[in-house]
Amino acid sequence: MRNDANAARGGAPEPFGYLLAALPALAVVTAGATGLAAGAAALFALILAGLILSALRGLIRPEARAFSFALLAAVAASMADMLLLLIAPKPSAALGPYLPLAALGCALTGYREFEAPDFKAGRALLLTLRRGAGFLIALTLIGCLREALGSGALFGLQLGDAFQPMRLIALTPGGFILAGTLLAVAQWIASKRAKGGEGA
Amino acid sequence: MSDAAKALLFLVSCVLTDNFFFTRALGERAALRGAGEMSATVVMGGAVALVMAVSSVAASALYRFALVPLRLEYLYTVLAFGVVAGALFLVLNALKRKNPLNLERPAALHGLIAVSSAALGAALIGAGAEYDFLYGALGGVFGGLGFWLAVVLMAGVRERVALSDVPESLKGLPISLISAGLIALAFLGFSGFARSLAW
Repeated sequence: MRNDANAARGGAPEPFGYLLAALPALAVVTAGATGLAAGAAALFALILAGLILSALRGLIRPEARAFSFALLAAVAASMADMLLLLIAPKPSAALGPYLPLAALGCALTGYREFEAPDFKAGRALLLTLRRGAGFLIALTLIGCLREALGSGALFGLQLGDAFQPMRLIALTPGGFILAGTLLAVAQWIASKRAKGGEGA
Repeated sequence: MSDAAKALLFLVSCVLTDNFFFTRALGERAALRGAGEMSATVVMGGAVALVMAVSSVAASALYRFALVPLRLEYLYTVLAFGVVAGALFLVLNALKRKNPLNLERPAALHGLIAVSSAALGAALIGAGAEYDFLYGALGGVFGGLGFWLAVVLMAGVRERVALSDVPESLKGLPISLISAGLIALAFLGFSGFARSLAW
């Protein structure tokens, strides 16, 4: 699959490997609201950095393009942090310094779309949008699952007294295990679809 | 408590109770992917730890002695990233012969990606109001040691997993993440130790 860097190194194919960039958020995304906020910030930073780079691509020398993109990603992550502080101060306070970290990591993954020799702005932006949507869905899903399983609530609404939450899921080790399990399920679904496509 | 005892407790908290990877989930690329063989991974982990130390000291100084007096704290994320890129460039030039991140040239983008979350995390966390310049800078230095430990532990786990019969859908990142979670569970046992100096 395109952009599968691990397969290119001879490792197992990892179609969702780019989601690793959102891992720093695992330490603090313990609720659906914070997951949604972190995912939205990552999407915003990714698209903003991509838009600016595609606009300025012709003006930047090829050897300076990598560092320029990294700096643009840092600016975009900073702007995402400040915007979230204005729009949603509670999730912003919960995320703390992890928000610009996660947003920056996600924004940096978008560079691959803009360095290709056959670059086309529209196609690159669409691929970036798809990647950003992946971050948004992944972080929101992880936040919802951690809140439901770890605290017995969903977006602040209690799920009922009968449910006994597993406190471990809300801690970092539980976040790692949950992320690994979700990735395994996603890879299993992707491989089933690939086999179904080959069989057809 | 003497300053030496405080510093020792701070070192223990940075390495064990608030480990950069197992507690804060930072430096994910370096810890979960490594650099192939164990020896290369150890060198890579050391290089990332060195970048964390250098960038933490420089970024802490920049924040407290330049940005705070000039009330420009909102520029810190961008400037800290520049400091991390500069620290990476310096460290890789110094380690040119080893080239631990297998880069074609220093400060290439994938090198930045590999160190960005760990080193930038050290810089951003160290700028918190609860730390002065010394502990803000030391946090990155000691945190780098803890991160190096995490990288070496994960490299050992990957070597064992490579010899095991892992189901297809768990191969690669999923099994690495689950293994990291189990080791993080062990590190959770250190929580509460030196809590008063938590970083």
